[in-house]
Amino acid sequence: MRADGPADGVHVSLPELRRIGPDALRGAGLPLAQADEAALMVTWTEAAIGGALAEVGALRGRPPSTPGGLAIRTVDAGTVVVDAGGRGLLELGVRIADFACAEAAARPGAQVVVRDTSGARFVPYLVRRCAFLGYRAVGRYVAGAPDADAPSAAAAWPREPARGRDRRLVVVRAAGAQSARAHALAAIDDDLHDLLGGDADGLVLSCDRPTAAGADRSAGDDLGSGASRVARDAARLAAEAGADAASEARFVTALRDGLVVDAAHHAAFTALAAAIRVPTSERSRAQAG
Amino acid sequence: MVTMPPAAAGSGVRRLPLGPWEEWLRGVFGAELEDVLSCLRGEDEVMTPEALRAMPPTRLSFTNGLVRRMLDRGWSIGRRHLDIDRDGCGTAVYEIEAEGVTFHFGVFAHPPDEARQGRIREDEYDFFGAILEGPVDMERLARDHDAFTRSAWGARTTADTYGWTVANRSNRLFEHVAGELARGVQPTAAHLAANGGYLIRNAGYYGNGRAGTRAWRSLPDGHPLASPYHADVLSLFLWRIAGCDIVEATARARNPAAPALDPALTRGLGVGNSSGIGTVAALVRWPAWLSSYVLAREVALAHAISRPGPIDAKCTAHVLALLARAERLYREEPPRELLFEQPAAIAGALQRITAAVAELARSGLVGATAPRRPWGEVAALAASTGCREACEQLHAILVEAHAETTDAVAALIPRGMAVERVVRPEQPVGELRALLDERFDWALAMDLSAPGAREFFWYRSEENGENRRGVRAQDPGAEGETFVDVAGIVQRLAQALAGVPAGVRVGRFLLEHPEHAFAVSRVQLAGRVPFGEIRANLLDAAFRPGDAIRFFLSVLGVERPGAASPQWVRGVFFQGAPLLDDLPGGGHDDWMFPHHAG
Repeated sequence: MRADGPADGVHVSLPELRRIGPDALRGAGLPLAQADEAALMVTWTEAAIGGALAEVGALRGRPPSTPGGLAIRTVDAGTVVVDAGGRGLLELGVRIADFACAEAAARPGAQVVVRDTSGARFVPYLVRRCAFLGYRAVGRYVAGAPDADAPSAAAAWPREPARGRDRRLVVVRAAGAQSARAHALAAIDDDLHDLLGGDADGLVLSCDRPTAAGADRSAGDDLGSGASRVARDAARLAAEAGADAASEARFVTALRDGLVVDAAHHAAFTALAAAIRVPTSERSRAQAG
Repeated sequence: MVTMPPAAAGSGVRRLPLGPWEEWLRGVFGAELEDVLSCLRGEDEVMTPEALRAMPPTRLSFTNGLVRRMLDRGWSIGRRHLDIDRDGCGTAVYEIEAEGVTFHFGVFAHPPDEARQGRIREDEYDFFGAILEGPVDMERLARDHDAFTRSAWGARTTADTYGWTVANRSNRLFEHVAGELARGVQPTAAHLAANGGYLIRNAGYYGNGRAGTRAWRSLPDGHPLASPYHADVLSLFLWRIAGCDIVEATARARNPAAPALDPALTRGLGVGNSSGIGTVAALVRWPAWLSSYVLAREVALAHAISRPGPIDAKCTAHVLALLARAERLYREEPPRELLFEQPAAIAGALQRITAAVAELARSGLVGATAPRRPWGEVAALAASTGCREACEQLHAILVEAHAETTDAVAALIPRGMAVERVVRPEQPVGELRALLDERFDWALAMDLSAPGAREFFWYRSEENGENRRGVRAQDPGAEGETFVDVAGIVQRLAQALAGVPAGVRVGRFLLEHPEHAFAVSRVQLAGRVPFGEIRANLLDAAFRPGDAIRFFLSVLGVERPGAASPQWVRGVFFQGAPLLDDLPGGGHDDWMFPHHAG
């Protein structure tokens, strides 16, 4: 929810979400090793898209996922299928985006298909992450089994995502040609039908080779500080690497002004962060420092 | 007595990765860069707890940076309101004009609680302060105060608040000074110095996004607070000013004829502080942060060390003057209780260093030779004293004496703190493994199965979320421990990488082994920037958090550090710093090692 959200919401700053996020995600069952990156994704998504805190809060009470469990299968020289076994993009999305970039670097035109996952609202962030790493990416989310209440559940990024539903399939495609974006969007339905029989939700994330800006730049090395760097990054990501300009603008605004989030979602988020804290005792107080 | 390697005056230390900084530094040093880099100390020498513990504040510390900015850019701070009763309760407001931006600091002074001693609790405090954007707005100040009073940890504000801060009266000095002034006499400098040297001690700052406040990274370039920790240390500076105003107003409420504090005494008062192990967790959590400060400091030092002889007479005179002030300060300091080297020993070592510099000034010789790099030889002689803190004070003095270059290098700090720790997925595993072996050899060599190696874990307490340290075999909470175990994750990563073909890309490896993502990002960052890791096992029974706490506080600018326990370090900020009357004229910027008469 953005700065123009409900008056009964809670005003938060992005650094605050970023700071609490790793603990909240650990409280939600994510391992330490992934909580930090996932917190970045949640922070950006809450600011630019909305709904991320609710998604994290929904994990409360669920059993933590166990390490491993991913089945990775190379279909042909250009396609890799990852079966997420029901694990969502909140947990795996960053790894999937990074995998897509690594595949694109190694094999232009490679395609990664991720099955049985969830968390559609995080796809724009994954597109952005690819852009940040220097890859041009386009994502397209496609609803799964026909639903009488949701006649059209296809959505592409850069642009606002549709409401996600429970069972999802993500396709990550990496292509070498300059026309990869158009190609991906045009061909994805056929690909989905070929790969999945056409009855599952899906997302296409299509990655070009490194952008001109990214090719001579290491991630995070764009030296500069403060809001102007963030705005410059946002403009560059949008202009050169295919991230969504409107989402970037919302992110920059939220960084400056903060944002209003739903009070219940915020409470659930902070409660998750508190879940990893240790109850107070006299012995605990003696250990303070 | 400790031993240590001599300062590396061209001693052939392995070239450190400078990644994004190489070109930036070339812009600062031009053709001299290689010469400067040849004098850069190695991480084994700089990043151990023992070395970090000995590092005092420098010209690059945040308090110094803030004061210099205030003076150079003509900030003005004016008291707009002061209403304090005979018990020291009431309100005060200050308006700050800084580089075209107006903000204000409001203070709410509550009754003293003489029973309050020891640990800080955020829901028990004498003073609440808020730094707000814009001209003075009493209603907004009252709203923020009310919100904080209702719930220190649950309160919310908006993005026009830079931060909230709480503080307490010094039990030893506040009432004493108010009473003396009310009697019409000045307190003595000796009494002030012997009882901490502050009227108010900091009890916490809630900013940089906390509770909905504005974060420094969201401020536009050029904004006076758009640098790391500038808002935090500004709050400390303002407490120092407000403390003196409130104590004087308290005395006047008791006796309208009470005098103001002698300005010489006021200048010598700082603001007290005590910090715990959460600062260490912060150093581990933000390796780019740690790297930025240490790299800037080490490059500034390397530049000074690299200066060829003969050394300019003005420079040696400056160094001698600062050494004399440092020695005097240590001689005045009472013995320290724990952890840190004793002041008398440091003063003795400084005396030997002073003699060497005096000889250099007289004859151009150090130890009977005319060295190519005289400061390098003096630093080596300092190392031979075996006193780390004396060596590091010499280094701080050399950094101060080369102010122009140091100030140029200071621009690295906010930029470096913004460098992201991001996985680079295209990197082949073979390269990652080589990087791991090269940059984390110190961690890979540790025996983590040795007795005591996993003695402690760090956790967040339910009580206010503060970091505490539990005994792994006895205390609950290890499953949610705060991350400080760099050596552990690096060793596990090394094991996981062992059988992976060199050509596999990191993105693929991490998809199959996401549990190593955090470690990979740290290793890759260490391949681009140096000085980002404390070279120690922080879980080990032998690790003393006070070493790293003191370093953290030195980065901020704390003076006169002392440890009441291995997990707490106290000290004083801004002793000797400019007062409000100094600001418009840009004067009194030389406040290193202030002298307290008496």
